[in-house]
Amino acid sequence: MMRLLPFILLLTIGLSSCLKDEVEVAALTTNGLDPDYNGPAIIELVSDTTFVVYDQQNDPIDTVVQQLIRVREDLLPPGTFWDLYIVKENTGEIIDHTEDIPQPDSTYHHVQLGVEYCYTYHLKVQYSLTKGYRYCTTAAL
Amino acid sequence: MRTCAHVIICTWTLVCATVGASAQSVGKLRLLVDPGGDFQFVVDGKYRMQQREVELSPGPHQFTFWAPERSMKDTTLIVEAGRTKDVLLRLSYSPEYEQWRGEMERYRNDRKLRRLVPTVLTAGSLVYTAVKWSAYKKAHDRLQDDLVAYDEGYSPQAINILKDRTIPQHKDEFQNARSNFYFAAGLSTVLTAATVYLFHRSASRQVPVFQDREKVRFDGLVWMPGNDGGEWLGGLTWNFAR
Repeated sequence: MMRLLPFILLLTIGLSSCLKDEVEVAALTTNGLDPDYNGPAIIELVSDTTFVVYDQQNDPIDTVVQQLIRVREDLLPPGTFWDLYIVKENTGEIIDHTEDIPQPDSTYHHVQLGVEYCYTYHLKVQYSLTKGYRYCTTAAL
Repeated sequence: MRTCAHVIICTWTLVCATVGASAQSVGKLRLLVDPGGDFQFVVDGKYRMQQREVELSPGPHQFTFWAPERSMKDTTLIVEAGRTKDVLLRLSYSPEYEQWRGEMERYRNDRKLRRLVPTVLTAGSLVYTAVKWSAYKKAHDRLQDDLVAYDEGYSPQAINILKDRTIPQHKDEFQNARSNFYFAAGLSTVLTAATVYLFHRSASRQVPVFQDREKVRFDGLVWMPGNDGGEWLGGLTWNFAR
């Protein structure tokens, strides 16, 4: 019995110390689908442009702002099915590609030069949104 | 001295031969004594014997019976010539033996209290600790599973539920399980220490020893017949407590 006591103490300390690690919820930010994701951007802005649209008589009829983005699927869990969900910040329009109804055009039309036009991009996966990425473009020719 | 011994032996042999020749003039006593086979007796204050039947000359004879742990009993038995008589006798336990038995009972109870009870409690607490350790480990494993579930999370909503509800709930369970395990481990440690202490203390207590004073009295000076003529037995008691 005398030998058992230190053994029990050591066992207790050993057992309790090996299970000490706990999960910190705030530190969980590595899954690309997590709204609190904190890694490299899943939606990247590839390019943005402002250009004038002409009619057949070569008269200018519109000035538009467009952005080209890329989705980094390599940062998503394998086999993730997603759709783009875009918020046009300047107009409040939402472009939800999961909806069956026709969606608004994602381009800003009749822009004013020097004004900033912004988009917030999400991925929609199983009816819920990932973290939003906001990119802005100042209209300039 | 050696010649004297031979004379006594020859005389004894002659007496025995005479007794054997005149079988009609002796009677037999069959002794049925409780306890069965371990009793001794002294006949007429001289001869110590340990047998179930005895042949004696007719007439009254003084018997003193004794057995280990029993009180001596003095009685007079009458032997009738040519007859076998059954003698039923029960020797009661001696007061010293009763007292020793009481002390032994107390000693055993005390030992049981100081050893068996703490040992059982300690064993129980160790089992309890093992159960709590298992629950603690399970709670820990659940949290590890949550981490895997987070990495493999298939939708933002599922991840939100995991982070807002499932993981906090599992964390609470883990903390409770850890507290329970610490309590059980502490209890086991305290009980083990108490058991060791009580074992140590009970080991120093001496076992009561039975001293058969009735035997000392019975072993008073008597003649014990034997193959080589017998021997004188003597007993001496001295109370060292005085």
